[in-house]
Amino acid sequence: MKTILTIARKEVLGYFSSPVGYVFAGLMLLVANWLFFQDFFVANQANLAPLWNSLGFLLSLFVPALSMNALSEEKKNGNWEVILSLPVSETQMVLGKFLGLLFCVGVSLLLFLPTVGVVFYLGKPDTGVMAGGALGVLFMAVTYLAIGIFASALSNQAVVGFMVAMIFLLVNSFMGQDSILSRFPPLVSSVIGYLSISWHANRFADGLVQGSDVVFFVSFCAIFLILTVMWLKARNK
Amino acid sequence: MLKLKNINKSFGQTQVLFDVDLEIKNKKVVALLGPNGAGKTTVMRIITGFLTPNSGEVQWDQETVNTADVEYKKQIGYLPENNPLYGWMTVGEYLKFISNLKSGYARGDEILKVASECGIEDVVGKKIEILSKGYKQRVGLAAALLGDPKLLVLDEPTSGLDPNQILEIRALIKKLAKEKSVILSTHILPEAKAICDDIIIINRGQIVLNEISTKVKNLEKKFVDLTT
Repeated sequence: MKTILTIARKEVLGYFSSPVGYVFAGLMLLVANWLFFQDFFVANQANLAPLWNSLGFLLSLFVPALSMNALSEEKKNGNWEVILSLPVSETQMVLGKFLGLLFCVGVSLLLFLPTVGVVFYLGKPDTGVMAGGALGVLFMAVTYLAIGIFASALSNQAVVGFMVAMIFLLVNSFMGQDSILSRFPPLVSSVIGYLSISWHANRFADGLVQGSDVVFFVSFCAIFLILTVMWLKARNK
Repeated sequence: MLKLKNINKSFGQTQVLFDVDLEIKNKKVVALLGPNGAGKTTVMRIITGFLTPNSGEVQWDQETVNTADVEYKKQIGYLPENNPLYGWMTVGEYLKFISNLKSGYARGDEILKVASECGIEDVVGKKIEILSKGYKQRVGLAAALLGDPKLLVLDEPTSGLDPNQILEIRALIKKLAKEKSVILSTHILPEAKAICDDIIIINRGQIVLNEISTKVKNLEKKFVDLTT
């Protein structure tokens, strides 16, 4: 566990030592708030659902940008060779990166607390629905991160990791939209919907927090982290 | 101390090492020479546990070891060819990071000791990215020394350095070799003669020469004959 935390700490320090992290987090904060407050006063409702919706989309850009260097840069510069020659396993390395970046994503999401505070100040939002939506965004971010880390392991070019993760997440996100799902027969639509991360997050946003959705997020996350470890081990092939 | 026995390694359909046998004796310096693509780095990566061989065995003190084993890895200090470091860290932060990963905790006294051994105690607080290539090489060497490994694996440790820096790093390796075993790869043949006890030449994945340094006469000619 100590090894994992050492790597996680290095990720956090690396993230905050570069202005790129601040820029991406600032942009996400700015765009999400702009989109949210554009309609907030017109709708005149203390409802945070539009914020969670726009965050769902923005996270599919922000998380790949945050994670694109996670392993690609290590491979490009050869640092992974040093780390894996130390008493560190691929699993510890991947989990360390994941935890470190998770902390950074968490800090970026905490920047939205004032927005939530404003909504509470101006009205009385349904706290249950609001908490469900926030939890959905958090689970979505965690799952997106696992996918982003896997994508960054595929190549030593960060931009490849970014593109692969972003395209996957955008397609996956569109798969969960009702406008897309309604075009398919019910059975196909339910399968496609089930595989969409945003579809599960939307259920949270509706206030429906179910164990099966939590299992989906955890499984999706675990699958991509295991795939990342397997991909790193495949250097021997 | 370390023996590679009948090591074979393939990547896909391409075999890069063929029945490689070599031995690194206690407190001896071994030079691994060969043209580009001969398999030097692959041998070193197998020794460090970064790569696993398809067949053959690695023996440490006459016992077969799994190179992914934590206790084995603690005995190895590695400086890869391009000496990858995190430029945004200070030298001290980097050494602390490596020490944490190697020993599970960062010992300040050990960090200061290796920094002093490698002559970087004055730059411990400086960012790595602003250091000269010679200093960066010393930082990489200091990191390899953390945890007091018995074997140092140095992949082209003088590559890209100016003549003064080459002499400095060479002197440092000589000093370290009094306490530890060293295997290093280099393209500079006089360097191998000057600081190494044993010379191994590898060509197209096969060991073509394995001799005590003093017995090798006219190394340049021998190298050309065996690798062309």
